[in-house]
Amino acid sequence: MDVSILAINLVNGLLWGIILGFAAVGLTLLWGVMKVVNLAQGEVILMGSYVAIILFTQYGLSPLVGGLVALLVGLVAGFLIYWALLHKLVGKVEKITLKIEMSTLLAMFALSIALLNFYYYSFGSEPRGFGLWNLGLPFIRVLGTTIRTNILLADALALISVAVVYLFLDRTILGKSIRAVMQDAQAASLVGINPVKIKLLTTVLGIGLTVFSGFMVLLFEASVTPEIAHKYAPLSFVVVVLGGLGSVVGSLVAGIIIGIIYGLSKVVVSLFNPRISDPVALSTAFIVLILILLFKPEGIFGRKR
Amino acid sequence: MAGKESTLSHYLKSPTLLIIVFVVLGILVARILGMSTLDTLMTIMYFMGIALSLNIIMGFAGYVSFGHAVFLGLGGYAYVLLVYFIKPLADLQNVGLGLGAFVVAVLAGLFAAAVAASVGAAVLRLRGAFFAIATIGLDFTALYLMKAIVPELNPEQFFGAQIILPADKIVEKDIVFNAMFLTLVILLAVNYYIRKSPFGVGLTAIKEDEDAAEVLGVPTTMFKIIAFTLAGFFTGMVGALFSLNGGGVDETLFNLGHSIDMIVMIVIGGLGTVLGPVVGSLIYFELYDLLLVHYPGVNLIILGIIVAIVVLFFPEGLIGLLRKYKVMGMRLRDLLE
Repeated sequence: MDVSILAINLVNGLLWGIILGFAAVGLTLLWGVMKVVNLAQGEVILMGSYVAIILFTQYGLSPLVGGLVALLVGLVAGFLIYWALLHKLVGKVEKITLKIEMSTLLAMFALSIALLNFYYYSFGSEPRGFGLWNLGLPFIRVLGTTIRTNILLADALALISVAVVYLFLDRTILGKSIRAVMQDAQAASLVGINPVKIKLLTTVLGIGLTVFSGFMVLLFEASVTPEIAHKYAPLSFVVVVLGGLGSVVGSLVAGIIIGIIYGLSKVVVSLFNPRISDPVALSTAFIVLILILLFKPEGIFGRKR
Repeated sequence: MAGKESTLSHYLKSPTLLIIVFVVLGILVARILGMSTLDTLMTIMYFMGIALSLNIIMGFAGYVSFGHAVFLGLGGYAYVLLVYFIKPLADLQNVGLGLGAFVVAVLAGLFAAAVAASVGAAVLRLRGAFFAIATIGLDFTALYLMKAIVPELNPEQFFGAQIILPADKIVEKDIVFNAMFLTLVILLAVNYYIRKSPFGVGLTAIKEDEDAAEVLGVPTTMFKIIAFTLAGFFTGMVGALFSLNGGGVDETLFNLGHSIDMIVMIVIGGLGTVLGPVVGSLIYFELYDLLLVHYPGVNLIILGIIVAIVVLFFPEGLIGLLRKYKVMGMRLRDLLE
């Protein structure tokens, strides 16, 4: 086997995995703290992509500004989603039962139907992106292959964001309260943490980060269609389950693992039949998901429940 | 004898059975008198079929299978590949006014059921969101594997995962209608039987509190696997006949959108009843049609909002809502089982 093909696929897998890991950070927070599985994950990611695209194509704003606005839009969206959907279902509840969990799944499912079809309605199904925009240098050469600088920009932003979120959760009082509610909501309220406030904060943060990650996904993919929601949402679930619920670092590591597994299996399958390497490589990610769910359901960094 | 009579009169008083018979006869009469186009009736039966299939695991046992479209896809692909590659089966389709097509659909359903049984044995250990996520994972695994395998089966004819059946391998719409109708009747009977049987009671116990059910001697693992396998089997059959009706199959059959359809119909109608999916699918069909006609483009956005409202404010669905009321001194709760 050609070693450079292996190297290229591994590097691509790594670069993609970082994006994937960051895209799942918001999901892991919501799931870990509130037991809310955001089934609209893919559509929420796309919100960030489309906000940046509109600002770029219609108002001529730099994508960097667009990314920042996307983050702000995401925070507002999180606020709205909490008060419109989640508060009634989980706001005042101390222990989330299976029945409540199902209701939240269905509510987020409803959101995903509405959002996805809103995108189809407003933006159509053709790919949209930043065109040829870049930071001045479109490509760099590494290991005999070319990598778009936009991908490197996306990865750098993703890594910085993960670090900021990690420090926020680890160092600040608010972040510590979020982790306290994640570990034991009842005990947390006993020591004076207002659970409704924390749930609101978690939703705002979780949705905000997910929308922000849509900007990185767009930089990575170069263009997006509404259909991409169906690629990133299931993969985010895989990443969260593999990384462990509520673990930000776990999410990043799991994203990288999935990216590298994808890259590796693509190389291996290409040896036998290059035409089918992409679908088979994607299916391995889901086989990993089912295996993890069965044998190590708490994930790599998760606590045993 | 007296016991038998009271059972009979009990059944006659039970509106559920009457409504089911009414719906079945209604479809038949509409078909015979030509009151509705064949396509409309097929769509209604398809909606009702997938809702009733998922109802076995979601409505009765409380396990929401978000990736249930996988069995629709597996059934569809199994059917189309069977008649594409095996000549006797393609000929069998035309035998007996739809009975032959029904038999081939059973084969396709059995394939879906085999997958459901083997995967179910593993994933049914998971509860709640984890189960939902696992079935979504299963759906995507199957989708990507189909995308990889199908083009290899006949590289000259199959482009991507799409298979179009040649003219000599598809059958007249009448035959598909008969086979689908038969499937629906059986599906209704199975749903009704489960609701009334100890098996159904066991599933309800699992839904209410699985650990308690286990302690009380309900073989939870076996019951769940049987329910999931049945749900997979019938979804596969419906998917098979749906594909035959469309003259082929492509990867959109695995779309999570189909899972949305099933879940929404059950939620609108009401969880845990036989009538729920029946009524839910009729409402959903009308709603779908109405929104499509009056608000093309934004119809599905409105649908999403309606679903959110139902989940937030009427979590019991229509039948659940009606069950709370009394009519003529009788509690509807007892009647709408």
